[in-house]
Parts: sequence; structure tokens; C-alpha cells
Amino acid sequence: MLIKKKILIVDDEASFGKLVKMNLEDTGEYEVRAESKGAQAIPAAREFKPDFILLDIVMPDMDGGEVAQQLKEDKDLKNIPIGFLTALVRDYEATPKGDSIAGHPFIAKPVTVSQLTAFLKKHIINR
Amino acid sequence: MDEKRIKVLLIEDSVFDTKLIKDLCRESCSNQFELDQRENLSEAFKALKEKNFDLILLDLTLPEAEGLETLAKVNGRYPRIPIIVLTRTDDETLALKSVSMGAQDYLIKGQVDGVILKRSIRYGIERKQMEEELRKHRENLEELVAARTVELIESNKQLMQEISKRNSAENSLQAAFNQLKEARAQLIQAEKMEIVGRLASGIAHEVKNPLAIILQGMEYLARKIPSQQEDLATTFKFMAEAVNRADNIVKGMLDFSGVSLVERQSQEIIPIVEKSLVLMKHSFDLNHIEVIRDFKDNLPQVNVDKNKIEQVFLNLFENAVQAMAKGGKLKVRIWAEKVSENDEWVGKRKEDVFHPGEEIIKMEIEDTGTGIPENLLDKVFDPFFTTKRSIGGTGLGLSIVRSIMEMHQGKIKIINKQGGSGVQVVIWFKTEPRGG
Ligand SMILES: Nc1ncnc2c1ncn2[C@@H]1O[C@H](COP(=O)(O)OP(=O)(O)OP(=O)(O)O)[C@@H](O)[C@H]1O
Ligand SMILES: [Mg+2]
Repeated sequence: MLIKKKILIVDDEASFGKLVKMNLEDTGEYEVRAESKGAQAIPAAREFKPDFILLDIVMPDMDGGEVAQQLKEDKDLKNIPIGFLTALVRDYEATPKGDSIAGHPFIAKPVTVSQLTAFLKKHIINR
Repeated sequence: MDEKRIKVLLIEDSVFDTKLIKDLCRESCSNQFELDQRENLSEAFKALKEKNFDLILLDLTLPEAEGLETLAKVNGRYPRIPIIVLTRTDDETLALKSVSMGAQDYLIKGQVDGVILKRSIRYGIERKQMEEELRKHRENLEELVAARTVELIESNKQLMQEISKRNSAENSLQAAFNQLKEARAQLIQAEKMEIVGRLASGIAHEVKNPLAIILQGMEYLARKIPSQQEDLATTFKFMAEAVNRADNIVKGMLDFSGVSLVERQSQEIIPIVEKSLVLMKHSFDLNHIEVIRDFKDNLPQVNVDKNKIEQVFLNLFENAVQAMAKGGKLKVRIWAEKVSENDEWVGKRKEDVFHPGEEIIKMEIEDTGTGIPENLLDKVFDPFFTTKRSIGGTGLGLSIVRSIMEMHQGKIKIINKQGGSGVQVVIWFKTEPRGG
């Protein structure tokens, strides 16, 4: 039986997180937890133990960059791969150059479900 | 020893009168005067030549006209020697005439005594001296005036030069002013761009997030609603296209505003073109477009931001592909050339971007597509001008292209190809000095 990948998405747009959760879970391949506050990311990650964390970059309380920094400093969480979701870059900047932000891959909003699953597949290390 | 004696020449034909005058002289002042007498004018002139006389006593008891004529002649030839006229009658008019013609005084024979004669002679000499001084003074003055006039003419000339200099200064001031106006316009444009830039990132965030929600929401709904109905599928398709269009506008604005951050580096132009062609390859293949390269070797380097220039090529290639919906040829030529004075965009002024003799890189990108209706040619660079709204065109492509070219002091123009349909894009790049 297929083991579902656990995805933690942290985005201040709660409705976006919720929709992503529903869409990803509908594929049957993912189990998703959505958080809408940057500060919630660490405790949620501890509890949920995700395979991948999707972080929105621009968030009012604590931005994605800070969250990523804290994750990296946490010995239990530092090995979980991270990807950024951002409304600020062009998608072609993200794809052909395979660029990254602070060493993490990113994907531009708006994003289709298939783009998102392709992104996740590419960056989740099979364990 | 005679130096102090006053030398007087008496011009007198009458022996009697001569004796009279000599007697008067001797009577009062024999030791002060040295008196010579001549009978007529020619004798007198001879004497005047030989000796420096201090004064002439001229007898006018000749017929009136003759006497005045004599006075005029003597005075004309020896203007510096004072003349005293002797008359027989107390003829007021004659006397006045003589004085107006230059005589110092007039004496009436018979009424003259030694004292009067002596005084008249002295005053005559003094007056003449004064006149002389006055004359010298006047001459001096005239010289001064002449000198001043020369000076004035000179300074006038300088003034004229200054005026013409001032005029040309005014002209260059005007030119500078015009440049300033231009710079200001550019600054305003730049400022607008910056505002667009700041707005763009704000808008990007504020618009892309809702778009992201809409897109995710639509996909969710599309799965949940039983989709046997074709109308529903069409509706979702329209919505997805609308989201895509809005997203493209925002991307375009990001590009448009991102133009101000250029990171330039000396590099080859061809790898940038090649990279853009590679990125477009899929699109070329899909649309049956054959790419023909005509790249010259040994090109000078260009100082450019390669991401921006790549964006230029991508936009141009994309336009070409869109214009060749049924397939076609895309020809890209690159070569270096020294521009001449007659070329477009070339001028000798400092503010001209390209100067005669300068080596530049020229590019031509030609497609075999639809071409552009002549009346729209000058609109294609306008932001938001597009004939492709229905397929998601934003009309920002070429305005971005032009901004980037301007950032690089390059030039771009778009014309319809001559002979056969399609568009020709002409691009000029400034180059780096060779062997640097
Ligand atoms: N190679 C071409 N052949 C024919 N028409 C062209 C070509 N390039 C540009 N145009 C015309 O110029 C217009 C403006 O081009 P521009 O690239 O600025 O915007 P767009 O292509 O319409 O939109 P976008 O670039 O955002 O997709 C186009 O809509 C088209 O009408
Ligand atoms: Mg375009």
C-alpha cells in the first residue's frame, strides 16, 4: 500500500492552505496539514513530522525565510526539505534556471495542482 | 645776446611811415626791439625764412583788398607769428576784419605812440603764445580724442565679440536647457517606472494570492461537480484562461519594473541568443518554425545584463512565434559593423548614443509571419498595446524590450520586411573596446 507523503503548508492565506490541502489529499497520495501563522510552523512540524514543508514567503507575523532559518537550526527538524511558495517571482525564473531562495526550491503562485504535485515529487526525498 | 630782444618785422612800403615806426620804437623801447623792415611781401618772406621773427607789423594802407590779401598770405604761411596791422584811417570794419582773419591787434598810424606800440607788441606776442598753447592743447585734446576713439572702437569691437559670444553662450544655454528638459522627462519616466515597480511587487502579491486561491478552488470544484455537462467544462476553461491572463499581466508588470535593476557584465552576445533559442526550442518545434542562424565570428563583447537581454530575445522570439501560427522561418543575423555618420541613430554630438566610426553589434530578427499593419507600427512599443488580448497577450512585451534596450544604451526598431510578409526587428548594441 502506498504510504502517503506528509506535507505541512504554512501560508497566511488560510483559504489557500485549506484548498491546497483538499486538492492534494484528493489525489490520495498526500496527507496535508495547513497552518496560517509563521509562528505555528515549528510546533506543527514537531507534532506532524512532515516529509516536506511548503512555506509562503510573505507572511505578516513571521516570514517564510525566518521560519526556514529556525527549522534549519532545530536538530530534529533540520533535515525536512523545504520549498517556498511565492507570489513575487515569475515561474520561468523558477523552472529553467532551477534557481533557489536560500538554498531551497521555490514555486510561483498561482499554481495548478499538477504543477504542485510535480514540484513535490521532484523535491521529496524518498525515505 | 639778442635772445631777449623781440624780433619784429615791419612790412611797410612807405618810407615816411617806416621812419615813424622806427622812431616810435627807438623812443620807448629801442633796446627791447630788434626791428627789420621790408618793402613788399616777397622781400618779407625772404626775411621770414632767414630769421625767426617774434612779431610782424603789417601795413594795410594799401588798397583795402590788397592789404587783407597780404594779411591772409602772411598769416597763412606763418600762422605761429603774431601779426599787428597798421592802418591809416580809423576804419572800424577793416580793423575788425583783420582781427577776424588772424591779426592780433590793429593800430592807427598817427594815433600810436611808443607806449601803445610797445604794449600792443607785447600783448600780441603773449596772446599769440596763449593761442599757441591753446592750439597745442586742442591738438593734444584731439589726439587724445583720436586715441580714445581708437580705444572705443576697439572696445566696441570687443563688445560685439562679447555679444556674439554671449549669443552663442545663450544658444548653448538653450541647448543645455533642452537637455535638462529631456533629462527631466526621463527622470519623470524613471520615477513613474519606479512607482510602477513598487506598485508591481505590491500588486503581484495582492493579485497573485487571490488568483492562487481561485485556481485551487476551481480545480477542486471541477473535480467535485459532475462534469458530464459540457457547459461546466467550458466555464472552467474560461475561468482558467482568465486567471492565466491576469497572472500574465502581473508577470509583465514585474518584468517591466524589474528593468531598473541591471547587473551588467562584459560578455559575448551569442551565448545569450543561443540560450534564448534553447528556451524557445519547444515552442519553435511545436509551431513548425525553422530557425536560421547567421552569426559572424569574432564579435566584440557587449556590456549587458544577460538576464535582461535574454528577456529581450525571449519576448521577440515569442512575438515571432505568435505571428507564425502556421509555421515559418525565423532568421537571426548577428554581425559587427563600424557605423557611419549617415546611419540612423548616429551623430557627432556628445549626447548621441552612437558616434561615426564606432564599432557596434547589429542584429536582425526576421520572421515570415503576419507582419504588422502600417498604421499600428508606431504603437507596438506602447505599454498594453496588443492585438492578442484573446490569447493572453498583455501588450507589455515590447515595452519591456524597449526599456531594457534603453537601459543598455542600445536601439531597437521594428519594421515590416520588404518583399514578402513578416517583421524585421533591428537591434543595435554598444560594444566593449576590442582586446581590452
Ligand atoms: N513579430 C511580430 N509579428 C507581427 N506582429 C507583431 C510582432 N511583434 C509584435 N507584434 C505586434 O505588436 C503587438 C505588441 O507586442 P508586445 O510584445 O508588446 O505585446 P503582445 O505580444 O501582444 O503581448 P505579450 O508580449 O505580453 O504576450 C502585438 O500584439 C502584435 O500585434
Ligand atoms: Mg509579446
